Amino acid sequence: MSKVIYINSENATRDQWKLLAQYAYPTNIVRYLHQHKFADSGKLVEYIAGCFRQSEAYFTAAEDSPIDISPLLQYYGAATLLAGASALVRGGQLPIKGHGMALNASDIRRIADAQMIPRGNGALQQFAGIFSPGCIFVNGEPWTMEEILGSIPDLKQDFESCYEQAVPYTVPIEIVKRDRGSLERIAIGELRRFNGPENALTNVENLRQSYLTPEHTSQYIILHRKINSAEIGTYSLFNQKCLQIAHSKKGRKVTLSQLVDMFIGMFSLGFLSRYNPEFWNPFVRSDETGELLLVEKFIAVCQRYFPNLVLNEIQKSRIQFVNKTKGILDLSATQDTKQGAKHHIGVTGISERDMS
Amino acid sequence: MSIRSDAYAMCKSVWTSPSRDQLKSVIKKLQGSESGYLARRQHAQILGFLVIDQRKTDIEEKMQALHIVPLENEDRILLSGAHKNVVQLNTRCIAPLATELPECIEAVDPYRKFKYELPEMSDGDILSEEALVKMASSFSGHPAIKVAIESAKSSVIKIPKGKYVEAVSIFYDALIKAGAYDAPNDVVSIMSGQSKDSPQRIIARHVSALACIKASLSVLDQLVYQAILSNKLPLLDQNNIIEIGQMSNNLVSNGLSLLYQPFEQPCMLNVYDVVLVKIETSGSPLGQLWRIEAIHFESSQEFGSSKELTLREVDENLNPFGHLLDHM
Repeated sequence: MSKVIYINSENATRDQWKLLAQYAYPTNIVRYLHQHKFADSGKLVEYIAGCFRQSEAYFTAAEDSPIDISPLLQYYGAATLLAGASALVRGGQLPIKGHGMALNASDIRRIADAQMIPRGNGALQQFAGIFSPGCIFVNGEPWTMEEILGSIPDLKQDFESCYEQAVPYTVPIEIVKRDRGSLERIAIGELRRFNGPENALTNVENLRQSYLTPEHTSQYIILHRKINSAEIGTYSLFNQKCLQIAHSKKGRKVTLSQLVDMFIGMFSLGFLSRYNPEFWNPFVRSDETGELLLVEKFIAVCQRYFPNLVLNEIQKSRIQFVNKTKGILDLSATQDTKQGAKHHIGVTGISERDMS
Repeated sequence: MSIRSDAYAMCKSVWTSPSRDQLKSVIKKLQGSESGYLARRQHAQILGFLVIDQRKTDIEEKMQALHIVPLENEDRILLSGAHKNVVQLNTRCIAPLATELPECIEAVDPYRKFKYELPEMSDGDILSEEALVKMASSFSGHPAIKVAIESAKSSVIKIPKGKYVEAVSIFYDALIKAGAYDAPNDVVSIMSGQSKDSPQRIIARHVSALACIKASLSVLDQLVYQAILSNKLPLLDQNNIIEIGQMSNNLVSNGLSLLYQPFEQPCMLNVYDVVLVKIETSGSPLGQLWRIEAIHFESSQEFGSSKELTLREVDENLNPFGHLLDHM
C-alpha cells in the first residue's frame, strides 16, 4: 500500500467516518463493486450499507459510553465494519459463523495476561485472510494481550512504561530523505528491550527481501530499501513507519496486520468487560498499576485509527489526515541532510588521476 | 560473438594460466602497501606497480613521509612478464591498423604516456598463444579500426607522423574531462555544425576512431587485470544498489550515477575498474558492462556508509565511447 493520500482535516475522526459513510449508500456501493468487476445484488448492497451504518453507530455509542461497556460496543463496531468492508472488497458476503476466537481470562492478574484463543475458521481467520494476507492462526494457540498491546506502534512508549520487562513487537523507523538516496534508520535505543539488535531484526519477516544488509553504527541501524522491493512494516496514526517483530506460534513466525491486532485486542477487552465483570469492575474502578492508562489509550487509538485502517483497505491507499496551512510552498528551509554529510573520507575522480 | 564475449572467454583462460595464482598473490600483497596505493592511481593495471617501483627515489624525494618498499626481484620479473603479455595482446589486436596506418600505432597505445622500458626477459604466461590469436582475430573486426582506416584515405587527413600521439591524447583527455554525463563542447559543435563530409568532421571522425581504439584496448587490458585477481566481475545489483541516480545518453556514451552500499560485495572498487550492473529500472533497460570513472565515498554514524559511482557504459566492442563512433 505505497500510495499515500493526504487529507486536510480539523477533525480526522469525523472526516474518516464521512468517507466511510459513502459505503452506506447503495449508489456508491454499486459503483465500487462495478469498478472492481464484481456483480451487485440488492441483498449484498443492503448488507454492506447496513454494516457501515451500524458500525458507525456502535463506534459513536462506544465514544459516548463509560469504559464499563465501551470496549464491547467498540468490538461490535469493528466486527460489523470488517464484515461490511470484506463484502465490499471481495464482492460477496463472507460465510461467517461465530467470532472464531474465545477469551481465556481465568485467574489473570493483569489485562496483559488475558488470552485470545483462535477457534476454527470463524470471523477472525476469515477477516485475517483478507486484511492480513498470509496470516494463519493455529487453532487453540493463545495470543496474550501483552503480545497484542505490544504490537501497536502508537502504544510502544506506554507499553514499555507499563510492563517493565516486556519486549515490544514494533520498532519505530526514521525515514531520512537526502539529496543522495533516502534511507531508513532505527535508533539503537529503540532496541534496548531486545537481546541485541540482531535478535530483533532476525524476527522481522521479509527483511532481507525488502532491505539491503543492515549497517550497524554506534547510534543507528541503517536500512536501505532494495530497488523494486515490496514495502514491509506498518505506520502509526502519526505516520511513523515501524517494523513489526513476528510472533512465534508453534515454531512458526506470524506477523499480523495492525488491523487484525486491534481487532483481537478489542475482542479481548470487549469480552473481558462483558463476561468477566468480577475482574473488569475493580480494574476500571481502582487499578493501582497504571495498566488502565494503557488500556484507555488502546481504546482511544482503536476508536480513531481502526476505521482509518479499514478505509485504507477499501481505497487501497494509505490515507493520512493532516492539519496544514495550504497555499504556501516554503523553499527557504536549510536542509539538514546537507549539514549531516560531513565525514567525507575521500573523493576519487578523474581530476585526481594521472600522477604520471 | 562480440569482442566483449570473446574478451570474457579470454579472461577465463587467464584463470587457468600457470602463473595466475602467484601473480594474484603478489598483486594482493602490493595492493595493501603505499606503493600499491600509488600504483592504483596510475590506472595502468600491472604497469602501475612497475612504474612506482621505477620512480621510487623521485617519489620519496617529493613526498618525504612516504617509504616505498622496492619490488623483490622475483616479483618484478613476474609483473614484467605479465605486462609484456598484455602489451603483446594490444599489439596483436591492432595489427590491421599497424599494416595500414603504422604512424597511428603509438597514439592508440594505452601505456604510451608511461615511457616504461620493459627489461629484456622472457614473456609471461597469463595469456596463451591460442588466447592471443583468438582475441586478436576478434578485435581486428573492431568498427573503429575500419573507420580509422577509411577516414585516413581522405585527402584532408594530413596529420604529421609525430603529431598523432598528441592529437589523440588531447582529444581522449577532453572526452574523459567532460565526464560520463556530457560530451565535450567541441564534439557537440562539430557534430551539430559540420556536415559528414566536411574536412573538420572527417578529421574529427579519424581522431575519434583512434581514441575509441585506445579506450577499447584500455578496457580489454583492465579485464585481463581483473581476471588475474578474481573469477568474477564486480556485480552491482539489487543486493547492493541503494539508488540509481543520473542517467545520461549523450553524443559520446551512456553515463550513469549509482549509489551502492560498500560493505556488501563488491567492497573494494577503484576508478577504471569494469563492473557489471544488473538491475531493472522503470525506464529503458541498462547496459550490462560499465567502467567506473569516479567514486565518491561518504560515511557517518548518522547515515551509514555509501559510495556514489560515476559510470560509463562499455559497449559490445569494449568501447566506452561507442556513441561517438556511431555519430561522428
